[in-house]
Amino acid sequence: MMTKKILLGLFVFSTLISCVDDRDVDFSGIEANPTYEANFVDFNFSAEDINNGNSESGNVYSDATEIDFFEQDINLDHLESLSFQMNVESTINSELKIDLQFVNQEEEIAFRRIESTRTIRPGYGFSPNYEIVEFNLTETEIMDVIQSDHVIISVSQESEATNNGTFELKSLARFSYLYTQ
Amino acid sequence: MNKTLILIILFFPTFILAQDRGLLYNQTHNPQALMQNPGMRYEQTDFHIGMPGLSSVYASFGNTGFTFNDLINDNDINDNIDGILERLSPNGFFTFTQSLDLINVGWLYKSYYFTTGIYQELDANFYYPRDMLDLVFKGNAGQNRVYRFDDLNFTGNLQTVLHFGINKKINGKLFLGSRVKLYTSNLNIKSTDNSGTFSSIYNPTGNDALLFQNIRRLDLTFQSTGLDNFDEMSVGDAVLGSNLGIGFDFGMSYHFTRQAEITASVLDFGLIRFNKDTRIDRVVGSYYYTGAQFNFPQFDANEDINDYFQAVEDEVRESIRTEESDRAYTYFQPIKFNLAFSLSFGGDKNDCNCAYDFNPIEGNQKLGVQFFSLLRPKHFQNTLSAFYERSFGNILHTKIMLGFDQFNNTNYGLGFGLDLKGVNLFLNFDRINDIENLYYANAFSVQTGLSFKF
Repeated sequence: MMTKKILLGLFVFSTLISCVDDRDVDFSGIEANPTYEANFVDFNFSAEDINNGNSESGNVYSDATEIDFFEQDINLDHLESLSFQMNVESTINSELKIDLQFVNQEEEIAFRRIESTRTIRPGYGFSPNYEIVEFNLTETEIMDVIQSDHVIISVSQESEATNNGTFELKSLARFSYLYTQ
Repeated sequence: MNKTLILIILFFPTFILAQDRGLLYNQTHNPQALMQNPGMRYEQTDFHIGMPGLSSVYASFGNTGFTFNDLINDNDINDNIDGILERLSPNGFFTFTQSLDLINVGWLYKSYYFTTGIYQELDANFYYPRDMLDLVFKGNAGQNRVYRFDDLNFTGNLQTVLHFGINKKINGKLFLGSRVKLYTSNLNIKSTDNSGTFSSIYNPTGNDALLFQNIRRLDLTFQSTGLDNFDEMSVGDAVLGSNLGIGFDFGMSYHFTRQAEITASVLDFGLIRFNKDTRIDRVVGSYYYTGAQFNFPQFDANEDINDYFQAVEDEVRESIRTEESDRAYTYFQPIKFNLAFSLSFGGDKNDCNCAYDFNPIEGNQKLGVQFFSLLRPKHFQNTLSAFYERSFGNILHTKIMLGFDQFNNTNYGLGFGLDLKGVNLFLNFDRINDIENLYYANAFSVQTGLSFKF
């Protein structure tokens, strides 16, 4: 009799244990939305350099690099937003235009952004000028950029001058991804 | 094969916890308790045999990071994940263990009690790589911080163990025991010696790039056995491995008086040398990333356009080297320590001055404390427990434990043993704080078994 009670007690206890409630277990809404940032392009030059230029036209300083690494599955499938930040410090006493061009394999400009240095302290001449320019790309622009083949950056000034000073640009790119379950 | 192996692995671990089997420890009526202390004061039947495949079934899990309820509840799951990531401690970990006794036999010869058998065991331990998870879920933008790679630390091992043990009554007070184990395994992963940092720190006014970004002294090693050919692995290959190792258990029991007993054991002091179907991947190096540094070639002088990012990629490949080999490596078993002190009381008194005899020393109740420690790659997994045992007519044996460990501030355990007409059946539940709803549990374990004593 005692044995039966013991066995019955063990059975009842074992059926009571390891309970879980009946909630819906749904992992389908899981999202990861990380944003990464990395240095993009840096350069600097003096007024003398841009006065001479590095192409036939003079007063234009230009360089380019391939960016085919943008066109990866991770960007095509999950890139949600893309932005660039340019920090510009110029003591060159004239206005400079910065021309950023993303060019595709057909040599077409897929995305372009033109910025210019400005005096920030009128009346004080061209004192050290530090600007931060940020721009976010639209969904269409993102697709154009990540399918671009190379990027060209040109800095130019209106005409040859006898100016002086230095120019420095630092930039970074920010990529936001969205992963969903 | 995948599904079959996974089913075998998952069939028995109904629930999981943290490797200590405190409720079974020093249950002198239970031959399975000899596996926790080969020097236990076992009652020394003439012979015992475990029910093949059912003599001991054990599963446990422990998670210091979060409970299932923290992840799945009425709130948005992504908010829950954010909260979990915020709360993860640097040494937070998840661990699970499952074991299944296939054969267990013991016999008395003179004053020795020999045991032998085979059991299968799966053990895994995974430290949450807090910094890496931050990088995956948040990214580095706006974080301005250093990420450490040494958080990346995990082990997993599926093994079958053949063992042979001796339990010896030295005198009425002292029992000693030891066991030798032959480990066999075909499935193992290990990554425990990782180091290095990734920095991404703003540097807006310095001479360098906007971000000070570097990978410094990176050294990651991933060791594995059996993963490359996992799909071709048969059940037999998975159960009985061709990589061999050896280990030892030691234990003792000593009665200061008829009531006071101290016991101790060291388990799995051993290793496996993996040399078949192994793969070691290593990533080593440092790199300082500044982006593309335009230098404006003189086009009029026919200078070539530079492919700056290709140069960066080449530099990364040169600076961060990857190596792959099939060299042998060593897996050290997670060594375990048990230590307990108990006082017996109650039941029939034994006031004679005769020599100490076998079971029972005295009393049908015990009160004591026991300590368990398991060495993991980055920490000791400790449990300190107080316990109370009571036997009813030498048929029903019960044990209640109150413990402290890394998973719950306090936890409770409850064990039953039925010893009737040579049949020994036991059922132990440890860390039952949230047994009514395991979604709230940080840890849980269950062990059951059936043996026959003659």
